Amino acid sequence: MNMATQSSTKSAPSYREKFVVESLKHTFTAETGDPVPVIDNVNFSIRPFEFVAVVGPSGCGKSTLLNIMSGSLMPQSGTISLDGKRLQSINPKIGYISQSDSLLPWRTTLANVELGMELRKVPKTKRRDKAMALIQQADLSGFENVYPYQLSGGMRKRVDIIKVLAMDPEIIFMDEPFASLDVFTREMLQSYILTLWQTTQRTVLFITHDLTEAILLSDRVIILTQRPAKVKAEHIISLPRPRKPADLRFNPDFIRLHKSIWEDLKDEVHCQEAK
Amino acid sequence: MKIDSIAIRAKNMQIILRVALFVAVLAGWELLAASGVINPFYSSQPSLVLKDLPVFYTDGNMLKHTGVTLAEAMCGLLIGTLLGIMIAFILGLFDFFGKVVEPFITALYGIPKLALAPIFVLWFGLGLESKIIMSALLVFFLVFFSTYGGIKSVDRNILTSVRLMGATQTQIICKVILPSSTPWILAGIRGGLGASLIGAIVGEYMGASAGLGWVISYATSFFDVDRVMSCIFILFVIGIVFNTVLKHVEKLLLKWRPPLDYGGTL
Repeated sequence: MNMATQSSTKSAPSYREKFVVESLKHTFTAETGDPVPVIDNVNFSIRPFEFVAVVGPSGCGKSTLLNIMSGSLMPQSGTISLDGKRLQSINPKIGYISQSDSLLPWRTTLANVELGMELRKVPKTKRRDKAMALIQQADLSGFENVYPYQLSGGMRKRVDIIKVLAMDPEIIFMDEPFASLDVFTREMLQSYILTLWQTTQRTVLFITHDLTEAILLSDRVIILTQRPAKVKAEHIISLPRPRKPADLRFNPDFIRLHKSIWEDLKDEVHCQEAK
Repeated sequence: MKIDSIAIRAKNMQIILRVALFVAVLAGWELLAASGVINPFYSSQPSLVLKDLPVFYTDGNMLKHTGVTLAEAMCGLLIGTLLGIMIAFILGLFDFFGKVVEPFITALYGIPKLALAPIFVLWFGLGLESKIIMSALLVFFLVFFSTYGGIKSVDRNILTSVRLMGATQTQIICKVILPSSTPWILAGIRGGLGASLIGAIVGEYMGASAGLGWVISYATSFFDVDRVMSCIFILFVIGIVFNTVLKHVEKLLLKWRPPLDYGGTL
């Protein structure tokens, strides 16, 4: 179960892969002028329609990795490719859902969902129809003309998610999207994400520090070491789908998986504490 | 339903008390003047002001002078606001340029601008121009600093997220920075409303042939305190009207913000 699959991604990039990260290295310069290596030779790939979770101790360089993968930060060495093409800048095929609330507070639910299409100059009636359909699917009917401050945390997150979906991204990055929510809302949104992923068939890369969440949702969990980040191990999660996060966490297979993956992660977290 | 009716009752009570307070102040003034505790020759008296207002009106002067002062203040407000917003956006968006110029604007802000009033009369004459420029100058600084602060405090998360959605720089300005700065711009204009009147009135003190400021200074020289108080009453009403209009504009533009007492009062 504990397979080091690094070697498979080091071969020539295969076009069967949706997204490939190859020999990625990145170093920041501290205020003192000392180099601080943040990412040290990270390799992994994601297949089309796969749900991959990346787990690492906090401060391990996950955010930097994500900034590079989304095209907003240029890597110092190594390559990122999407559909076999090297990623050079922000790419509209990539959707990005962040930890913090990124709804525009001066826009209603409807206007927030329409934003991406508006930026692409999609005609008004077309974008309205699409946004309304997404709002209905997300169970937000009746809240179209309401401002974000009038929504609950869970509702805001759902708007945030469909705002990204409205742009039809082929791959979605989620950066600890539920970190700031309470346990119940979180569980509801985990189910929501799973249903969404199953019905719309998209590729998802989910970054989290919560191992339970990673196993519940994904097909594969990638464990990162503490800074500078490397891929420590990859685990295939073969739990049957469709999954119900609320029940699954008491499933013996889940518990076994959790235990064995935790062995890998534990060293990294403890190592960090010792520092 | 019940909470609503309580809120309405509280609001009605506030209005009643507000009117009562206003009447009490006027009545106190009237009584103190009538009983001779203060001398109405210097302090005037509400009943005398009330008697003077129709005289001021029928003389044909009230509307003319009020119109002149209003025109100066409104022009000053408009010019000052537009310049303030424009320059704040230029300096706020071109960070390098902004860092070069901003300290100069801060330094100029430190000059007491009313001290420039006499020289403005010298430079721009006794007509409306010198008052409009004075008024615009006062408004400019208030709107500029407020807007500049607003541009600098745009939420970084929103900025990053919209950029990742593929927005162009123009789209970011129109769809993120401008709406996000609107509360700040309005706060600047709120201060600017009062400042525009100050600019116009002080400009008129320095030298003019019309306007409420000119009437005040002229009436004072003849110890006609009733007329002075009439002018002040008109300015008071203008202030209330300006602020009420702005409040409605704010309500319209900022309906996306939670009301101040959202989630209970202190």
